Amino acid sequence: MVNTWQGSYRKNYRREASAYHTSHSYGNPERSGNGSNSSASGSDIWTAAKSFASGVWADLRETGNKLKLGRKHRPDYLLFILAIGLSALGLIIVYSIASGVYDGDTATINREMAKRILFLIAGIIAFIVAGRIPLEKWKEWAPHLFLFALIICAALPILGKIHAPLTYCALGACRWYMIGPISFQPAELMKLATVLFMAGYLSTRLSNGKLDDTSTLEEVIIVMVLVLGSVVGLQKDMGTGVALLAIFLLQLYLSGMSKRRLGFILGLMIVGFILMIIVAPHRMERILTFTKSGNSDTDYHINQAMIALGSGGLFGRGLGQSVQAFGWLPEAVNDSIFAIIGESLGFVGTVGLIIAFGVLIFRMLERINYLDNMYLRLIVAGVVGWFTAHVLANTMAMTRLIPLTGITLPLVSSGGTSLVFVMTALGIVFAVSRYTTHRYVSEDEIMKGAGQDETNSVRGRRQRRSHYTYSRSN
Amino acid sequence: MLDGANNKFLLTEAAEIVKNMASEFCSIISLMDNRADGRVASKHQGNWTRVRVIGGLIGLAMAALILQLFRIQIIDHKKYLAQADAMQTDKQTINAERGQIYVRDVDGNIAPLVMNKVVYTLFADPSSIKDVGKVRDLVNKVAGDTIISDSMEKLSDKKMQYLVLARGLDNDQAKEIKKADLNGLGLQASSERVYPEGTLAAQVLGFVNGDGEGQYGVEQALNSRLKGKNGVLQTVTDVRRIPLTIGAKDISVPAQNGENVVLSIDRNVQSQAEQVLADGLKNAKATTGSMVVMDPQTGRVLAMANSPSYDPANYGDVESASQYQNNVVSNAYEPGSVMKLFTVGTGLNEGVITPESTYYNTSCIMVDDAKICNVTKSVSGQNMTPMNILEHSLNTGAVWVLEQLGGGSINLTGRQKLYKYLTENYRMNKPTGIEQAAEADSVIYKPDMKSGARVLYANMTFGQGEQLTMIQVISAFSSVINGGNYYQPTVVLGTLNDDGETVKENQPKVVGQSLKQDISYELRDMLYQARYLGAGGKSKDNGYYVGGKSGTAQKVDPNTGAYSDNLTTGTYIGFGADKTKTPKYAIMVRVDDAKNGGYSGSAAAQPIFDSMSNFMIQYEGVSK
Repeated sequence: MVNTWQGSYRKNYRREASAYHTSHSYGNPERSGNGSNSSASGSDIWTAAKSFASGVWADLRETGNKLKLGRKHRPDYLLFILAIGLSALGLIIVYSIASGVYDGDTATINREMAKRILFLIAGIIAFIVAGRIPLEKWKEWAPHLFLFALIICAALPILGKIHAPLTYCALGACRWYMIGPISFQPAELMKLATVLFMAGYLSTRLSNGKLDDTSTLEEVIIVMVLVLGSVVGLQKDMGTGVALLAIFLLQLYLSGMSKRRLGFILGLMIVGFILMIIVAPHRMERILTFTKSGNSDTDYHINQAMIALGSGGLFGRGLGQSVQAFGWLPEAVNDSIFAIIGESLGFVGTVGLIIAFGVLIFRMLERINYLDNMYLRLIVAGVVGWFTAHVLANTMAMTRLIPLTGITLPLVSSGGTSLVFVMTALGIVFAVSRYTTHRYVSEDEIMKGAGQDETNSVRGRRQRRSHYTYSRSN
Repeated sequence: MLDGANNKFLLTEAAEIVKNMASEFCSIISLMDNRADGRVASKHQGNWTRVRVIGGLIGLAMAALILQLFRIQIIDHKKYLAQADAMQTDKQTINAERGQIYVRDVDGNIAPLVMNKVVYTLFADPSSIKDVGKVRDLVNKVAGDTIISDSMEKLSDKKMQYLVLARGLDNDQAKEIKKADLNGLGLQASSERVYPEGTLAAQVLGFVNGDGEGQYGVEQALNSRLKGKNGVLQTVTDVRRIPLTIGAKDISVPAQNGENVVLSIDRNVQSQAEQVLADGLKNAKATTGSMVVMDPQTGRVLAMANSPSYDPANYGDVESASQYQNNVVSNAYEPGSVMKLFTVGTGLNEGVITPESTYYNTSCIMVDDAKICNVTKSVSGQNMTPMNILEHSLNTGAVWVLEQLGGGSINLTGRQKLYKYLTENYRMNKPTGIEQAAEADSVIYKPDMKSGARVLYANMTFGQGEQLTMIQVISAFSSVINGGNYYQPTVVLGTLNDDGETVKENQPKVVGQSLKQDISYELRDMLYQARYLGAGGKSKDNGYYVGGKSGTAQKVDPNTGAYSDNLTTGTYIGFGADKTKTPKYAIMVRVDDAKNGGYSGSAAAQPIFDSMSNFMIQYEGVSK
């Protein structure tokens, strides 16, 4: 324990030192370059840019200290049970309307159901495996995984444009890789990679005491622009964009970043949003058609969803009695499955489902209060953001509370790789749930740890905890 | 959609609920975790930590979602259910096939007169045509002369979505179009009436209009029976309108096809009647006339001919709608001297005269201020029997019978008796109810009119003043000669059995007794003698037992409004009987526009009767 502490300290010290020496490898270019040379020559600007870039690169690569974890205990099996339960519900609903969606073609139904079952099994395996991978490994892999995700995301539209093999484009957007019969959406990997990467980055910044530095703000903005640019800009995937934004916001907010910085990021997002509308006015139309009738496909889609929900009433038409699944409601087995649940199982079914999702989300959220490690806290925050964004964006669009973005209802509607990635993320939270403390960890407490070493806070807490348990046992 | 105010209200309310709910929910979750320490938890409760803010926001969103679901699924459930039903259920009408119409033929066979044929309307959707040239070639080749003019030019108008190219394509043509399977071409099947016998019995049949409703004749009178009942198929369907097996609202009522009706009309008698009438009218330089042939032993109509006629297959091509009308049924007129036989029958049946009674005939008599004269002056100053009245068509004789009914003078009692006979015994005051559309009402004035009743009734005895339809007169006439049985007149023999060959016959129905049997036979014999002794004599009927009476009524001149001496309607009514004197047929002929005045009406009608009667003798094999 002491060794580790010393090691971390050394590392930290080295970084601080290198910053003062303005070395070409490490250090914060902002501090060395900005203030002093305001009237720099061309080559100076180039040098400054180079050193700025290398500084950002170094910060982003840094995985920080070796993860220090408390004692392992029994994980939260409720997560596992809810994940399996919701997936099974999805499977049942899909099976109940399969004959309508697949035109009564038994061969297709069998094939699709087999595919879904196989992906569910793959998802369960992913959950178990992810739950067993040591958490420091994720921290170690995260930058590589993130870089990989970024590359395949950005490459996809370019490869799609030249009709490269393995790419798949539909409706004017290239979002899929086809590997044999399996379609893989790199945006799904991007969500997982972002959660892991940002958790590592922000917790490292916190432990380095640089969370509220301008450099952190700059780096976060660079990462957000890269990620959202590759997904929303290049793939035109608004749904994933919403989920990614939720991941970023939740992690930044719960990392303890100052409200001024958060406000700045929010302001930038609003500016970016306005810019997007100016660049492509059809987006505005899309947002407007959600309140006014625009006679568009989206309008038809939502109307059909409302009819499905409304005709279900209190108890629904019964499982397998959905009429809307027979071609009336688009995407019945995918994004619109919530409306089918409303039609089949009624208000009781939809509210029951929301409660099930709510238990899962709040259960995860509540874990954060019992985690004394910022990295773990941010992993959970990211997964909560991801999961909640999907649940709310999907169900609220189906009930015409927000515009339709084309986003899956996690576990229930998502088949394929999406399910595997969601299960992986929940598996990681499942792993994290092994390390919760027995006491409430206040935000002030964990944020005070800023500038200190992670191990310090752990040790301090352990001492206090044992003291507390001791006194209580007396 | 929520309207703004409502939405805002819901949301503020939701916020309140949610605030509580979120903290409740958080603490519930905490409690679920038995490791959570109550003391610590309470210490942090009420503090808006960042985690709690996130939890609150998520809870707020979920509460809004549940409220919205409550609105959609509970409050507006009925509205959406109605929308779903309107959209998802498809109500289709299964068209019932209209019944076909048959007539009798020789040897008890039946022959179709009106049949159904499936025809196709070829239409185009120019907006979805891919290759206008190909479509044009195909339609030209297949539809040929049935193409609607100008329609082909509009094919290239991409704004149009429905354009009828040709109508009345048959099955083969439709198959050829279907085989080509070109985009933008469609076929619409419909049923059309076809007439294997052309214009035969056109007015008896009527036609079916574009809406599938029968017009005129049997088609209108028996419309509901012929039409059948359309079936309904209401099912929940998928988006392509393919019925589904789910849903409890399915309704399936099969179509009930219309009855196949067999008319009492005999194909050959009808055909002959039309020919004879047309020829006779031509000889009399007339254009309008009618003839009806009835079986006096059943009341069944064997033929009803009208001239001019029309082609029911092209019913739109007539000059005047009056050509559709069956004047045997739909036109009431003054039958003239034909009525004398009913007057004589009344006197005989009442016992106020006998076949041997005589009266002193003068050429003219005065009734009040009206002078009534005979056309035949040669028998003035002689004593005349009832048979002589019919033979010479003596108007004064008919008035004498009316006087006898009143005990010697034209009084109320006599008039009431005559009225009773006309309305009750001869059933001439109400429509007969024959299965024909638009049966005309008759006009018979009441006997107790304040003024002019005496003159009017005197005129009525010889057929002026009352207006009757031919079907009323021949039905009464049949009863007068057949022993007094008034049969319900009908054109329907029955319905075709499912085997398509045998007929389920309606039984003839006696609905009244006009004369006593012996009186009826006396009158029948008088009619035979009157005809036998009249012009042509014995040679006319080759010794067959044929009797009859002519009638000429002056028509009201449309220019003056008074009876014209030049415009007359000629009528002849008669029967043919076998050697047992059983009447086999009754024929009534009417020639409307005989142009020569005087007796020319009956002069035109009688030869038509003669000719038809001779045919009937041969056709029915009447014995001598």
